[in-house]
Amino acid sequence: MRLFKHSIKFVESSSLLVSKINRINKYLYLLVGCCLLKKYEMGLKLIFCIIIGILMLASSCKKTDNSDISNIKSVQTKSFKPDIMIDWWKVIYKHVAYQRVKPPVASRIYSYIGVAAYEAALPGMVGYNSFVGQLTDLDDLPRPDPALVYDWPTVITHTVYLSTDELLKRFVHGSESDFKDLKNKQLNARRLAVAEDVFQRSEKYGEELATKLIEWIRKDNFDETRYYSFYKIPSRNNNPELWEPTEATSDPCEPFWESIRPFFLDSGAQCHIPLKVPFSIEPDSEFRGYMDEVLEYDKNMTEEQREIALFWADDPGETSTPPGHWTYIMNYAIQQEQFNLEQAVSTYALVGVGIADAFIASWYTKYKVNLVRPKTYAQEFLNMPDWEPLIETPPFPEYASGHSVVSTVAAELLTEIFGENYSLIDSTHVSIGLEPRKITSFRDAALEASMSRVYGGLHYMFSIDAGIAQGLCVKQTIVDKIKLRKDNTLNISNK
Amino acid sequence: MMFNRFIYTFVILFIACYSSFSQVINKGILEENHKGTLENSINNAGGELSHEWIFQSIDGVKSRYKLKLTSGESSKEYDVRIRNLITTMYIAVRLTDGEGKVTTLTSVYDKGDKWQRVKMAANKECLRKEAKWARYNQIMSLDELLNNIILQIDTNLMLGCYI
Repeated sequence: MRLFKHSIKFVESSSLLVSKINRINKYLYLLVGCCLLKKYEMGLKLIFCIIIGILMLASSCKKTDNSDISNIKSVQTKSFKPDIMIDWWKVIYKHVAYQRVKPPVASRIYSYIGVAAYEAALPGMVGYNSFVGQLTDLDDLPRPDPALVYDWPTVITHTVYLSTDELLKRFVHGSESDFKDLKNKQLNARRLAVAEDVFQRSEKYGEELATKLIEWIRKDNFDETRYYSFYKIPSRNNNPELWEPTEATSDPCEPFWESIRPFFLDSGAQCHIPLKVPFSIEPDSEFRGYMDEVLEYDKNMTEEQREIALFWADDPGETSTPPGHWTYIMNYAIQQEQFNLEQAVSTYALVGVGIADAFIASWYTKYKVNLVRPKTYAQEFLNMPDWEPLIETPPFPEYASGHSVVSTVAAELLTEIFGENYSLIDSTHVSIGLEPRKITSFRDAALEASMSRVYGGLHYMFSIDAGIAQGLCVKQTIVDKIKLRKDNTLNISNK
Repeated sequence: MMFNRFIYTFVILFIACYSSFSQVINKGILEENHKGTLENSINNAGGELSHEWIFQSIDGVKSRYKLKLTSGESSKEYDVRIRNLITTMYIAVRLTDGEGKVTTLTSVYDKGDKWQRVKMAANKECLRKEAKWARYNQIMSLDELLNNIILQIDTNLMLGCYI
């Protein structure tokens, strides 16, 4: 009887262990079990061995067990160059620009592609964790058979192709033959490089993975927010501090974006920075002082400030938007450092989800505070009905600067990966006729991007400060939660 | 029958789009010279200010021009860069003052909503009192865009300041 109780207790504790096994090696069970078994008689050893065997089998079948993902039979992800992904980004940038994708929506496309490529490449990576169990609602993904050989570039291409097709269909209502052309080009090259059975198996696995990822993507509330009742712009009668679109033809941009499922944040409210400068139109008020500063920059803008304002405008319809601009910068660094495919997909995933969460935090604050833009302030309260900022005022509220939030998150995460004082030439906008700009550090670039919004006449300085603070909060939340590498660091560059 | 309707709709839409955008988007138009005359120029004491946009080169979306402003016997030339993008057209006119400082006038044209803004942070010494950089709506041609730029330059700047 005593022995029976002991065995029940042991099985219970083992079961409990199994329920929390994601990061525990299955061989640990064997060791623990064998130590305990020393106490009991020979006959029972057999029963315990069977129980342990079943538990081990259960743990090895669990699809989300990070410790079992690595597939050492196949050529490792790090053996490949990141070119296949860089080609995907080029096609995606083009569609984001031409189809006038709004910046928050673009952030979703970039982040999902980053996650898809990362999870597709992961079994070929040693020392990295899956995002399963880390990203909100991502509870399960299929895993390849560890006993078989796969070709990770084929898996990546197929997963990214299917995910991109879904994202473009979903976010901009159309799918493009460019994606199919690129997929066929990449897969044809891989078909020649690996055995046919490996190719077929990899393609099939890519499809299974993409199917599951798409299921998860579809539950991010994006579709629901399309059917929310129309956003009613709050009345400015007796509330002159409230925002209204500055162009009659513009609808408010994504007013329900805070409802989109975040990746790491609990919600958009998590990093909210309350407005501390009380609205006023009195000439000697603090608020008016900030407005005067915007006009001062406008009147005395230097040539460099003008160039900065235009360079970081990142207008939808002309460019890949701010998240795309940072993806370009990320790719310049990836190429400059000659990152391999493993390092590249890890960087895309980390920075991609960071930027996407930055938009959720930023949009929460924007529509909660709902602050008037400098253009409206100048025209209504300063008797300057003709005043126009250099950069077109976008159709969403002023506070806090979204460019500052997004750029800060991207720059801070890139600094984690590539280090401080990392310099490169940013040629993102050569195709739209702008000269390349030298970046001496990601943080400096983020600060420049932030200030560009004051030079351009879109933001008050306090909104830049708040945006940077919000960005730092989002970045820290991600860094605190993410377990990208098994050694709990973000040491992707292996420096 | 359905197919014919589809073709008909397509042709109508094409004509509508083409007629509204053709003047500003037509690729060749940014490889040609343009000129015009401003009557009652402030800088020419009520006389004429003629402007000639002399095409230099084109590279992708970027066209280079020389802007020649002539009032009476004297004329001056300024570098111009036009960026003709999908939804926006930027025109930048670089003006150099007597001390060699370059200041750029920027015109932004929204092709969809058809408005134009002209902006410049000119030196105080070169700026007229009450200078206002205007916005124009319903701009339908490149000639209108260029004429508005000249009007803004003449209204807001003392051209004698620039070499």
